[in-house]
Amino acid sequence: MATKKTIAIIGALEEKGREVVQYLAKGDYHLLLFYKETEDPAQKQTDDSPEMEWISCPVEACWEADIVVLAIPSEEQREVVSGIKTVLTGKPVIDVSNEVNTVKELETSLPYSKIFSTLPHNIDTLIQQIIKT
Amino acid sequence: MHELLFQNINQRINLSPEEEEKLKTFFIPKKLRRRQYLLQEGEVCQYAAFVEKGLLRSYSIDKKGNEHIMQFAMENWWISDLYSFFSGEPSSYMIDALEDSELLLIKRDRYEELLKAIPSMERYFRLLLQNNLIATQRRLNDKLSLPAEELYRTMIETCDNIPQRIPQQMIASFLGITRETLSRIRKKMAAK
Repeated sequence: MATKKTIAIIGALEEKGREVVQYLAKGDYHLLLFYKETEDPAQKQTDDSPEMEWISCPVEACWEADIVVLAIPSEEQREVVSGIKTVLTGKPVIDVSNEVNTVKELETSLPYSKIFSTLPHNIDTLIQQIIKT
Repeated sequence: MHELLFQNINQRINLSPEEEEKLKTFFIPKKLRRRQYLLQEGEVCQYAAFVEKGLLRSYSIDKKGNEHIMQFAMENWWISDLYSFFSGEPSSYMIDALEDSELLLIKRDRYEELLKAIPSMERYFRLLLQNNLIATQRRLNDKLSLPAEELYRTMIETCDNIPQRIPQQMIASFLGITRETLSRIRKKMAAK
């Protein structure tokens, strides 16, 4: 029996965030979803799945997570990352923006995390590879 | 987040502020909720965990479904399956959280890198393993030679407040006695 991995998705209501949630919801993961604190809670539906829940603080979500997926617009990335940096040490961080500059910036701002980049439809495959290594 | 770990280390060796900063980069901060697993039987134990907050246990389950608790780990303690961690072989144990917990994890490969980066940590881990070996030998000897009442008394004396934080059945499982025997011992001790 394998220990279930916890995955935090930061920016879960962004376009790519929604796609990531959709793909990962089919897998055997515990998903912690975060979107801007100001967002209307009515949008945050999870079909009452015990394996998917909204977390009100990105630091708490990332602290609990084994793997973190960043689905935030590049202009917000710097501010969000500086807030969660301390709990990302040693953890795989996956960027789904598919922008070269974003990945480079993440590698600079998170030197003690492992940075990966992929598109939402490949997220499950990448996570399985990360878990195996 | 790392204060308790630094305290624990600095009781055994002296780290400079620069070494403390470097040390932080080797540990993965991880929160575990009550009943969540850090390790399950059959997996290779990837981590050694230092408990900053909370309580965990390691245990095995026999063919009849009985749990045998090997170790509890509360704040300021380490927990892992050392055999699996060092050999890379699948573990026979499970490690789960008995309370919501905050851990600092170190992976096997990062452990080796840490010893190279901060050589005095070699002494720290040697002292930990030495103490662990002594505690294991003592526990084995106690189990083979002491009556159940003495085993319980020793646990109360050596395990800080753990007995107050866990159900009676887990104390019995740790001591290798039945719940009924434990209940009899507690009644007898309370009557004295």
